[in-house]
Amino acid sequence: MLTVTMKEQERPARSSAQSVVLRNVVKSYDGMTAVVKGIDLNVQAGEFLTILGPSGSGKTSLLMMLAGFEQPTSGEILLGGNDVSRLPPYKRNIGMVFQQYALFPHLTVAQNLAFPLEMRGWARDEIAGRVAWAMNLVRLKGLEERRPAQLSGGQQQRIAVARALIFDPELVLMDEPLGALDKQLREQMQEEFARIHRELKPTIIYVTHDQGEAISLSDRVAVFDGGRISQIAPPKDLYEKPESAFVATFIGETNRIPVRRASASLDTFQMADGRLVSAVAVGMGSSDDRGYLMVRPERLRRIAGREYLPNVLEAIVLEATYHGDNVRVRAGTITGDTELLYRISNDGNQPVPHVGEQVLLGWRTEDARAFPAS
Amino acid sequence: MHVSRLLRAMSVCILVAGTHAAYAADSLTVVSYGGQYTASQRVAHYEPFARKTGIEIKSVDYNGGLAELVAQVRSGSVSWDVVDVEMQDLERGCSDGLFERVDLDKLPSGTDGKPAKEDFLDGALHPCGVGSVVWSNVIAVNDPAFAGRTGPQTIDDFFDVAAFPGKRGLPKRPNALLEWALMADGVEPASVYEVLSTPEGLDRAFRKLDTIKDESVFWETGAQMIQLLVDGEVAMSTAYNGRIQGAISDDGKPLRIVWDRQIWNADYYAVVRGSREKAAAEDFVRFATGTEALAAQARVIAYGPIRRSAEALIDPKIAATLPTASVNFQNALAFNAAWWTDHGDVVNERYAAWLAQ
Amino acid sequence: MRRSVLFPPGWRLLLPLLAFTAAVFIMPIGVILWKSIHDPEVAALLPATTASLESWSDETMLPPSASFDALASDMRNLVEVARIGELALRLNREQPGFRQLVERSAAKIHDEGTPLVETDRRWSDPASWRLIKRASEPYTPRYLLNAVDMRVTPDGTIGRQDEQRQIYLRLFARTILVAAIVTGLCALIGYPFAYALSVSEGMLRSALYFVVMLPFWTSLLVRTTAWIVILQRQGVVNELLVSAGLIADNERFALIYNFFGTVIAMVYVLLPFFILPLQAVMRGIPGQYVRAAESLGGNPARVFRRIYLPMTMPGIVAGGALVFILSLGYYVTPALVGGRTGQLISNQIAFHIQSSLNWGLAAALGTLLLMLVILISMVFSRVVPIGRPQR
Repeated sequence: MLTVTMKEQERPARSSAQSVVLRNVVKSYDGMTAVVKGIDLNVQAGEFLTILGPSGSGKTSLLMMLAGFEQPTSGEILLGGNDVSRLPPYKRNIGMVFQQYALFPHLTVAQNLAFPLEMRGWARDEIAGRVAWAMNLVRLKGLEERRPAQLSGGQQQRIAVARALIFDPELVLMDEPLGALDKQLREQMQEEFARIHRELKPTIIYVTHDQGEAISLSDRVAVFDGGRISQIAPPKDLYEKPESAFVATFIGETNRIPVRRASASLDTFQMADGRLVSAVAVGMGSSDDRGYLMVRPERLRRIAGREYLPNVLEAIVLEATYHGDNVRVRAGTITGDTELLYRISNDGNQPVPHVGEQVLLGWRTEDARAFPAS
Repeated sequence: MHVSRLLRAMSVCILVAGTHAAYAADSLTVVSYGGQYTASQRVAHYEPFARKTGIEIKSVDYNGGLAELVAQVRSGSVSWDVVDVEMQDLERGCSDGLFERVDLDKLPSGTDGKPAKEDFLDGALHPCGVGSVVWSNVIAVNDPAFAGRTGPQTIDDFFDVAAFPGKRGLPKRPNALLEWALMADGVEPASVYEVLSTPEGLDRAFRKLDTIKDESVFWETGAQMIQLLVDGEVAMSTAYNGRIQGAISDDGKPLRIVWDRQIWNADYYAVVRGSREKAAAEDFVRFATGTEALAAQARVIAYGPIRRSAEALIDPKIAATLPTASVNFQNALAFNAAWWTDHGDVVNERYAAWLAQ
Repeated sequence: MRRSVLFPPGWRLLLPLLAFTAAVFIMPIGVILWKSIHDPEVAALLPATTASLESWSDETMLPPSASFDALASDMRNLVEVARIGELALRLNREQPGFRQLVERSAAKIHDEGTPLVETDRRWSDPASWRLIKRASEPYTPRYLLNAVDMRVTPDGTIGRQDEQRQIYLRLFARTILVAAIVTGLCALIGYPFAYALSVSEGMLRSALYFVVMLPFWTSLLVRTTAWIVILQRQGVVNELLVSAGLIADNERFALIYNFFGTVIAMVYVLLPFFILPLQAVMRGIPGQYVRAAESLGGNPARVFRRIYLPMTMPGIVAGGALVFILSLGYYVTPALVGGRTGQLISNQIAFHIQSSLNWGLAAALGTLLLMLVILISMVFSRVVPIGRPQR
């Protein structure tokens, strides 16, 4: 619970349900090529939105514009209903967590936490109370007088998060905050982020290239590709109903089968060897359009006994890799032009196929999606 | 075992090197102040000596002072044979045992037949060295600074800030300056050092210096002094006559020398104590202080020959620019190196304190 | 085999380095410290006299006649070996006039066999004998005292130097003042420059580097002379002011051959020593700290004061200490452009080494300067904890 009430004038107005609004934001550094090509985005107050994309997709530029270190070439950024596009960073009331923590090395933990409050003219005793609250929040009470160099990586990251939250900012930006941590710590910190977001409900825009973080933490994920938002949706929709070949391949693993549309009205497609298969068509227009049929490895099933599936392929097992909780199997179609990947849950009931064994693999129509070639 | 063998080998090497040097009797190392001055010595002394005796002169430059000599003589590794020294360094170094004694009876007579002891100016013959040139502390005036008016003509004028406004160049060492201060304050040249030896006399000199202190710019080296005059930073300065004469006759600078109460000084040739070529070095000193060698030098640099007999061998036009010319020499004061050696420590400290205030 | 902590394996490889350090750094400094308090010259020149004066108790009276005989015999021996002048010069330093006294008395004793007491009436004055006894003590505080404008008075007590000869404390103070001003100006000018250097890239960075390094590529003499051309009364600055009508021709400023000129020329010469270490520190500071501070609500001025300035402090301290310590020992520039009021302690040290040959005093002044440097370094490291972990 909040033990110290914030001064009224410092408390940002939360009148608007839409905390952050981006309207047609464009960024070009040289005036010729745009790295951010017209982004429209609405972030709800209290939402945890992740921007996911490969490097060079424009997500860092967008972050810099949000924070105020860069200005958009055109378009506007609204924060709590106000246009902040031209405001310097220190007037924006945004908390930011950096990949390398950026804790001030010459200040103690308590001084680091007090910094944003001092900048806002808080009184000394108010600051002390609020710092205690923040240390409580991230469960690091007792380390107030340490210097950052005397903390572990995880502790430093938690202090960095506390520092970005302590002044109750309108928006919290996190720039690959877990990039510098090892895998185990990363998972712990994800839980920590989730807990803090549950407790305080701050508006968070989280930038990462790690789809695992994106899927497990976010309310919604915006996938960036070439300076545009390729798709924005809750993690489940993104994974199960990708709207482009890019999103489908970028998030999770998928099987990719080259096809041609066989009929404009029916969801039937023809594989290279002439076989007809079915899938949900996404953005594929007339017949003869080339594209890819995509199906997740966990939705590709080995058919045992007399089970019926609308799409069935014969394949020969090329490789089976043990992964602990599951076994990944790589198989090639009989004609040899397509490779398929599927998983067997290691529940003790299903036999692991041996290399060279012939298997039948099938999927339901609604588990596969077909996208245009590019 | 190894170490002792190494040491033995090294000492043999050193011995060999030492013996080698001791028998190399075909060259002398003569040390002097460099620049135009050494150039004049090379033409008038070194080269003729080499032609006459076959002994080459190796010329080495130094900045005066005895520090290097002390180091050489005290450590016993003497590489210099003859040094050109100022009067005060000669006096001091002589006490300090840095120079060989000179057998003054062996000096050649003048070309007019006068024996050496009568031919040399008073003070030019020292137990440790033989005088070669007379140079002088004078006042140099930058005449354009007094455009249309008559510039200072006497030492009294130099200290008269009201009648002759303008910056004065002063040295950062008090030598000759204190003498002038007293003379400008009315002390006769003959009793200057007597008065300076008393505390009241010293106070009097400093009080006189106080009158021009605020109008003064202080220089460290002769080159700086010339620069100050030529750049117009000062209207007049205490100066060394040779440098000023060089700037006038070689570079055509509009400078003028005030000979009034010049304080003359001399340079000496002295043989370094422990020189490996003592005999040859003494030969060189006798040769270079002969009438003809001195006259030859005076023809190329404006320092006066220290032998009276040399004046007859010099073009009268040149002779008139020398400190020793009778018209310039009328009320000259001889610099008293012995006094400065005795009182230098105290007076230098006091002058430094005066400067710093 | 047991391994020693003090001597890690292979420590013998360090021996050449240790020997070099000892020979090149420690030994000369040791010799200087030693020379400033140890002066065995008189005792060595006057062995019999020194021994005889040890039993002289009532120093208001003349010493026993044995001492007269001892001094006469010592003097005679010195004349024989032609070293009487060394004694004369050494005693003259204690009391002007003693050079001639000693040389003349010794000559009379040696050449004519005159008894010492008849050679000069000053030998009948106990003060002369006290002076010899003082001077024959091999360990002496007199050089160090002289270096702080104190002296041993003839009656053996320690007192202030004659007021007119008090110079060294004043010069030490001025040297510290100049060093402080030069360091401060270097910081003011050098900080923005170092910042520009640290954030620039490519051609601009090369150009800025060139500007910083330029002073190193010309001789100190040339650089100092350039300042003379610029600052003198007929120099560039004054000409500009006069031709712009800002000052009259006879009101030209004295910008050189004084304190001001010394400071300007020294700042110019020493600026690179401030900029280079500072810009290295600045380059090592990731931009994220300033960004973090800005995003947390700090305006540029406050971010600079609270975050950037403290983080660059190690560079300021390194550059500042370098400039300060170099300033303390500077003497070429003050000699050339210092005039009267820009003289520093090093000029006096150089004078005593090169001209007056008072190496004991030069050593004492050098020792004090060294202690000053050590003291200031200690204060510096107290104020700014350079050793503490920063990251």
